[in-house]
Amino acid sequence: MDQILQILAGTSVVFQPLSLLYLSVGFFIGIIFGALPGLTSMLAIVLLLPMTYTMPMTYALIMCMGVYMAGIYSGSITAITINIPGAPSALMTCVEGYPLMQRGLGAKAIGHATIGSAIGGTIGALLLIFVSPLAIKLALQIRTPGKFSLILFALIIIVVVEKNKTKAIISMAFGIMLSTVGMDPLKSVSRFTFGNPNLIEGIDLTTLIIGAFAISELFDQSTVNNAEYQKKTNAASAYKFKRRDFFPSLAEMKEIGAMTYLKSSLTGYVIGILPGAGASMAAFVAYVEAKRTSKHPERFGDGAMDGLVAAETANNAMCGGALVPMLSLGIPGDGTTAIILGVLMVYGVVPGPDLLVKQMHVMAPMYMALLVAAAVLMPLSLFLFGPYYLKIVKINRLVLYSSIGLIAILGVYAATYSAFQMAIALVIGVIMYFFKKQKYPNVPFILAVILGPLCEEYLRTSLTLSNGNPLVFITNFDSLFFLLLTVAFAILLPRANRRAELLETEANCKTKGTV
Amino acid sequence: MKKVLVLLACLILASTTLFAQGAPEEYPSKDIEFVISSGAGGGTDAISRKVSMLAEKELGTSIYFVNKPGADDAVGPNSLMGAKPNGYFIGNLNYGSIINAPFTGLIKGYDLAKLEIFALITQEPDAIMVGKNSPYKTFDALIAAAKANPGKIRVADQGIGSRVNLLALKIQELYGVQFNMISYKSSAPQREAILNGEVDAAITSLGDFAPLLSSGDAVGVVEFSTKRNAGYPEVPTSQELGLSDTLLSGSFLTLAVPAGTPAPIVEKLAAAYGVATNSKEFTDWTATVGVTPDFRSGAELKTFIDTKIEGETKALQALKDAGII
Repeated sequence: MDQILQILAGTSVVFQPLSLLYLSVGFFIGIIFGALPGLTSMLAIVLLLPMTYTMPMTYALIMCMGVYMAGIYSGSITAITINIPGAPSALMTCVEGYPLMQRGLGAKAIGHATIGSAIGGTIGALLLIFVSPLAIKLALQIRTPGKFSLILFALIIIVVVEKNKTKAIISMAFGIMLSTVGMDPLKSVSRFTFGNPNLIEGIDLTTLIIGAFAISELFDQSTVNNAEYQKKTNAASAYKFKRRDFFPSLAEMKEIGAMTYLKSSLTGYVIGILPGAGASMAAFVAYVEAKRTSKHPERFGDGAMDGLVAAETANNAMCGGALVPMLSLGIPGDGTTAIILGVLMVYGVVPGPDLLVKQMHVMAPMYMALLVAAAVLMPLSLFLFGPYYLKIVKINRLVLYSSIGLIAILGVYAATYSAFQMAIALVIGVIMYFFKKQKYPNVPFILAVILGPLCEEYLRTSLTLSNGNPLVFITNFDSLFFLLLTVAFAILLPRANRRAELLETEANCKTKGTV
Repeated sequence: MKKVLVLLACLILASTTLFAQGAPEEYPSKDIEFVISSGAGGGTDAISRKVSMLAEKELGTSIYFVNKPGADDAVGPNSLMGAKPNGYFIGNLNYGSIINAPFTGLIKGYDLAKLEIFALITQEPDAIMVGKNSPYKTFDALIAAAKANPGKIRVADQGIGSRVNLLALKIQELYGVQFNMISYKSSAPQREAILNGEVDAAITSLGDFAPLLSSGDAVGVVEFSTKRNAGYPEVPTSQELGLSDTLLSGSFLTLAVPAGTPAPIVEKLAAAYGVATNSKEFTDWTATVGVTPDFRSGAELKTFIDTKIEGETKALQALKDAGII
């Protein structure tokens, strides 16, 4: 009862005009930083840091929540419209969203992504408010060997979902290889730098993402001639969209299924609670699960609405989850929450189990801000800006792509302060362009880059814990669970694929029959 | 999209006028850049920003921050070494930047002689922490357990060759015991490991464990210092327990400017940071995060740094010769 009163008090704080203003400003900044490739919501909060220190803590946290929620969501906008994810969390959105855009279903795709994000964000925030103390107990059951097995699950399943397994493995190996360059994570030794001091810092994640998506897409676009491009964009914007076209109908949402929304939200929240993995992992796992249970697995990889919805729902549900370990243990769930932890520290707020329960009144406005950002601001922003998102493709493409290239490369500099990293982004762009031409998927590459270092760290820590005995992965219950899950998915997913192929051939036969 | 571009263009134009300003008359006449040696959101970052916010008032100018984390906390200081010595570039150095980086020599051309360290702001002694249900709540109990079960007591450190790893190795040598040392990347996973029972003890500062100490989930066994920590007065110091002075260990935060910065400017900066460090607002704040403000400058600071470098480098060299790191 006490808790509910405090939440209500928090609500009244958030609905004060000044709080709403801060939240909206944060949300708007988040949308812009999230949508532009190279600029992330994390960077937005870092830039806002000096400002937050001079305002009351409640406003600072409210603004951060706006940026956080919007930044994870808006990566989907550029992912769907121009095939460049604005943030790594929109990786899977890119895979499914862009084909939809090309078929002239851009408005629907953006609509579904937004509503999915809003639902996921709302459920994540509600779970944060009501079940966090329980959730954190659950999260502590998963020790380092278990975390290793979870990462291993993702790395194996990435290959299983791809059509061409050999190429997926090569692409992933390339990613893992690049992620080992630089400082050893657990020892002061540099690796694979070939004596080049510029490589000591390794190759930054931003550099690789910009190279693999923004730059390679740029090259790809330069090979498309104008007439062809015109044809494509005309197809994409053939329909005149009204504002309500952006809001998916209830029938469509029913087809995707309440279970998909619920499952993806839970997946996102739980992965958020486990420190380290973050939004891209949440989106990926939810996507795979959606594919496993989908009625139309054959559509995956070529514009499956349920895949897109699952990924977007999960990555925003992750926001609520990632705040749990940060607030209760001082262990940030991802990069952005690490910086919000810094904000709390400057105000002298020490995270701890008490913060979640006894000091609810301190955090209640923040929770409510997260909830309002997801449940109110997200649909509102779709209503206000939706049509403009689609107009991105109508911009003269010389201007569009060159400015994206410029902003993306500047984003690399903003993240690393290194001209050398900017050059690497260009080189990776060229390599990934040829990879793409040879039909090597880039999703395994990026996920390997994100998860590879974690995989190594957890493996090494687990093995020192067991004095080098690899059986630790089987004797630990949590680890065994994820290993069994890996085996289960590795068996079930190919079945879904086969079913998909069967359906496809059947459909082909039918169409042939009617002709 | 268009609006964003126009905005960007305006920003760029505005920044050129900033650079075109005439020669400064009295220091400081423009904003000061502060290079932080670690990422945004960590302890080093928070202390640097907090103390600078207070120093700003003394200096009458704005200080803005650039985070340059990486390799032994040496990337930030390394860029500071190449900055103009005009007082508009300052930065922080911590344990890693002063001890590890020159020792490992990962960054070519990294030389502390290129910097002038002008102030010590805070000290953060290391400590041993155990979980609330641990049977080893005293230092003696922990050592006795390690003697009885060689290689079985799991101790969380922060990577091979790190400061806390070095401390654990010193304890092993001094007491003839053998721990199973587990490397974690930072204090956050160390806290997690104590909570989920993955390790028996962890070594880092008390401040790093603030969330768990205040909730009672972790207990401080000993702090390797000479004076009890104001934030955690219940934790005994190593001196009280009669442990060797060679075990005194901990991180610290110092400030530096590029060598060759005019003496009056350095003095002005040191004075401003001195007032900031000793202010009530700062000391109250440090108590909540568990670090100890300890302002030193001039000759006093030089002795402090030189003793640290000499002692720790000798210990590192001994371990290297023994083939441990």
